[in-house]
Amino acid sequence: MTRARRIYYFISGVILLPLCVLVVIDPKLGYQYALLFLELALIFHGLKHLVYFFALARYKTGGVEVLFKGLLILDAGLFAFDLHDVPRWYGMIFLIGAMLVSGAIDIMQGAQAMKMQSGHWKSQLAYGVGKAGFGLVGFFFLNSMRLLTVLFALGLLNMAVSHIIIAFKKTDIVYIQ
Amino acid sequence: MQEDFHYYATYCAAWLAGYEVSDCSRIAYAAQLVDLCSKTFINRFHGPRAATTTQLKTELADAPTDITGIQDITRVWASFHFLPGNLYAHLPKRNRYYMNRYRLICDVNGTLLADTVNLARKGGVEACGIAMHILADTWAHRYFAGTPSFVINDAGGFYELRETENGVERIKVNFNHNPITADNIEKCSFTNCLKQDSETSVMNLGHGRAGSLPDYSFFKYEFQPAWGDYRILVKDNPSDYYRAFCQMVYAMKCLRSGEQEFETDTYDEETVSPYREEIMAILKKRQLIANEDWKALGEKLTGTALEDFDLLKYGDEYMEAEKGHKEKTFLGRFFVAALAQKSMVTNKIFRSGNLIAGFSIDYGTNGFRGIEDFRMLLEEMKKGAMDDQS
Repeated sequence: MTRARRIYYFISGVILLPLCVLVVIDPKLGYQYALLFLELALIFHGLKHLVYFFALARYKTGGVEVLFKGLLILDAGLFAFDLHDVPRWYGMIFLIGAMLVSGAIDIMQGAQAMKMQSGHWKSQLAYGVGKAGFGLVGFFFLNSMRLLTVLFALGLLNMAVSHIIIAFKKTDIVYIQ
Repeated sequence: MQEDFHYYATYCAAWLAGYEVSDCSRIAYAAQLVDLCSKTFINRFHGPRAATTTQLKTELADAPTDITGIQDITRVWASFHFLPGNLYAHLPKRNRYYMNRYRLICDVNGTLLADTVNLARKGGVEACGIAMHILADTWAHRYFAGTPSFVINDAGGFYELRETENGVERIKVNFNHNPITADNIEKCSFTNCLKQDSETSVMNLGHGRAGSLPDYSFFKYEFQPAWGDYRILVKDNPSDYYRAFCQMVYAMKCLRSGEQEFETDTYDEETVSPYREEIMAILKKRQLIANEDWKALGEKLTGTALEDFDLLKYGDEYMEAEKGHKEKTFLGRFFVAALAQKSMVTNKIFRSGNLIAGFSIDYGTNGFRGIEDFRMLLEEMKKGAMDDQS
């Protein structure tokens, strides 16, 4: 993992920690900040992919997947901006949905890692199951705003701790010379 | 390539080029050491760290991939394992960022190869061994670049082209990412690096995405390189490795003569032809490493027992030498030759207008501004110049 990537994980983890406390203490304000954090992260990632596509990846065999990935992430980020003006309930659905999708992706990656006998598939799978679990429970209790808020805060806490752990974790390198 | 070719086959080639058995051993040792002379190894002997010719997995894991980190990685891998084929390659409608990476793709018979072999003329058998490692790797590692780049080094669509009684069978190559899983030839199951769409991830360095396929002499396969505009390339390792062997014999004859200039695309097939069938049988034998077969050939050629590679063989000699005399030991001469090679390749890349390997200045016009470790090379060059004058 690159040093910049570690710094990104550490900073995002540190920002997320007080945010989950804020979501429980002042759900309205915490929700606004959580949404803003998600929007900015998605937009930054989307733009990063687009810049990379136009600078380099457009010449690569199969490089168009970088373009699609960038557009999808950017679109999701821009969509999230509109959620400030709609009832909080819709925004929560989006945030929990994002958590569910993110968890599902982790589960798929974990399963793929298991199939390919890659190390650390257990932790990746567990992390994905945790995230998707919070998301699923959230969808079953859409009527209880308080419960949704707590679930969402727990999801954020899970993400914050994971990011900080990833930032300091040694990464395995397979290099064949 | 692996120890079988870098150590044992180089030993055979050196003998066919006319070297004495003791020199063959030193050349082969130097050729193999290129794959093991990491920062960790050099630290053990308090040698010049700029002379590293490889990076260990653990060193790469912590290697920063910011601009200077990439330059450091590129200097090592492009100089010793993925010698660029054409630093001035041209492709239409490509921007500079892309072309800087594209021009670092390793290929055979580039002008840098001639520069490498001709540079080794000044450095004795240690430099000769380093040059033979680089030459051999141009055949094995061609089509991949010695810099982390997703848009160059990613690859897919791997199929083995296996010769059977019914003709050539096209078998899909299965990859896993578990470094402790052994490659399985019969099941066509191999280990490779994870796909990472981050441009500078070390997973995208060299032929990591192709696993060890380029390093197996028996393997013939097709694949789609990321830079190839959807074209499918066929890599015929047995044929390439044989060409590498013949070119090594020719290159070492040039170095041994001391006068003959090395020219690219020239192979000493005449000297090797009496052993062609034997060599091709080793190269085509389906095995993960061919140490024993090459060793047997080496012993048969020279009539002398060939000892296995021992990494610390010359360590004591270097450690026990007094300051000022270390450069006369095997390791000292190896370090100087490695510094000279790295310096030359970095300079050529820089002069082609490509900054991926970092800045390089000509000492003759700008004085000394480089890394402290390179003073060792400078001192040796000065001594060499004085020796020449006397």
